[in-house]
Amino acid sequence: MWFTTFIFANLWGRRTRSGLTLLGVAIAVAVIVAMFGVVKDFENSLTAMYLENGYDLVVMDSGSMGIDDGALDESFAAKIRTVAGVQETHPVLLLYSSAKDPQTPGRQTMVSMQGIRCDSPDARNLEITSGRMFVDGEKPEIVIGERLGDTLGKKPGDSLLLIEDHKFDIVGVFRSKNMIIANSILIPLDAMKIANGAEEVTQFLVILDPKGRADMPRVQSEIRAIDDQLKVYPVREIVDQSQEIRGVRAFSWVTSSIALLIGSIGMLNTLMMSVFERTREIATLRAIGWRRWRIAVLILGESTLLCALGAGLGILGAVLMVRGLMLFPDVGHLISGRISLEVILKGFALALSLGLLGGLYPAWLAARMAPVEGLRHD
Amino acid sequence: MTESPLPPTTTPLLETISVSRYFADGDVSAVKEVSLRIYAGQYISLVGKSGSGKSTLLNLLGALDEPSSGTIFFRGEPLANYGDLARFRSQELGFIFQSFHLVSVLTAEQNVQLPMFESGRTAPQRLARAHELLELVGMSHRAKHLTSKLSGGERQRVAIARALANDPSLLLADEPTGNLDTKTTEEIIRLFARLHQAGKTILMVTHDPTLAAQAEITWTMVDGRLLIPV
Repeated sequence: MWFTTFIFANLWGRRTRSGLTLLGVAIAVAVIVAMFGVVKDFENSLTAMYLENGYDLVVMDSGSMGIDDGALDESFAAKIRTVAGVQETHPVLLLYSSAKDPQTPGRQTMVSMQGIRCDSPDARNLEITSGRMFVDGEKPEIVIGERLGDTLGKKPGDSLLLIEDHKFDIVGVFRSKNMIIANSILIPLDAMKIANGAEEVTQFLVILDPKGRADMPRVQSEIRAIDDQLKVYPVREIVDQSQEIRGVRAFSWVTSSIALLIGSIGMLNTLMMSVFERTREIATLRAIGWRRWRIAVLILGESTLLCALGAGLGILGAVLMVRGLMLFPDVGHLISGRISLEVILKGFALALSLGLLGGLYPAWLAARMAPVEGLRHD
Repeated sequence: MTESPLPPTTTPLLETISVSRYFADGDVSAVKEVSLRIYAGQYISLVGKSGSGKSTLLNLLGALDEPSSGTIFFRGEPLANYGDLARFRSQELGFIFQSFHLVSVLTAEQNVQLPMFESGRTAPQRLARAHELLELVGMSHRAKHLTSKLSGGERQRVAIARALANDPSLLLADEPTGNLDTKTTEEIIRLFARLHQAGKTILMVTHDPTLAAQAEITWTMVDGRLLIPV
């Protein structure tokens, strides 16, 4: 018999309690991994959205609450271009708003819309799979991502009601590996301004030349110096400016902390009960010569194995939960359904820490048990 | 001093000098000024009424409890010099309890292997030794059975095999037939007799006169004091 056989036998011998504890740990891990998995997935997609098109900096309104908020005069674009090191500047109007089918206006889906010009990298790099690209100007035309098209059941020739129920014609469908882009609508910037009833844009996307990339802090500083209304972020930091991401992160932390607390209490309770119930067994092991550290390792081994199994089950549950979320159009279009390995490993490590921490006190209690008192225990 | 009627000339395996054990801040004296010597190969039964201090003395001799006063020697060395008493118990002592104290979630062969985790044996060596001992106590046919599925007599035989796992110098048995029927008690008596014939040193606490009569020496405890052998 291996030592681990004894650990496993102790858990298997108390199947119901072990199973319930394992379930508690699995639920905690599933919640944590699923929530942080979705957040990370969204963060990665958002960062990739900018990086894929070669952008280096995002210039936003200093009074904005998030990346789809703010009102910047488009004339800032020309001033930003004058900064040494700036190669291209592209105005963007971002909106997260409802899209309705003109045939069934009662049904609406929240979608991400981007007002851009055809000379921007977003438009230049677009892979149109059916129909054509829109034309710059005030004509209400749009191209939609393939995934969104599938979700809404729309194709070129159809139309959608966007931004205060303005009717836009779908002229093309594009493909993108990025799930945010693949679920978004691209609109000619001028047409979107009209629908939005405002001349301002929400941000400027900036591409730097090699000299500018080598001296990014200076470029940022000079852009900020143009006007107090401007704030500048490197693309890799933009996820921190997303109000949605900040909100989901905070929610994830709160939910995960509660899940973790419940999991820890469950683990502690199970092991305390287990040690208490096995007082005579532990005392017998001490009597037949087991040293304190071996008793402690036995209890810690049980808690760690329980948590490792719970983590495995929880990660599987998280994958299924995220896949399940994909079935809901309002959420599904925001996530790719993938959970990064980093999040999975962190979830596993967290569960193991839970096992070790939850097992420490019961292990200490068991190890310090006086055999003669334990043997008298009824 | 209370001694064996057959005092060999060699160093006692176990010796106590004026050992006492008090409880409740010294108000209750369970063992009073006990001095004894146990020599290798002896088979001793310890009898006495309930509450006479037999089990307390056994716990002291088994290094499960510490005396309030007096000294216990093993092979001439005070127990305190052994440092890690768990290691001492593992190497030198084998315990047999009235209620068997087997681990119910383990099989017979797994229970027998438990003391061997402290012996440095490898897993295959532990298994081979467990089979050897189960064969010795006539339980090899039940090796793979959970101990919770065994009868009282079978459990006690597994417990005896477990006590022998590390080939201890001294077997300490506390009412080993207390929970067994007459027929099974006879089997256990025969088993102890065989172990004694094989050279094992045995100290057995018992109420059972038949079992006590099997021992070559019988000590009696009365109110915490060990009486001169009958």
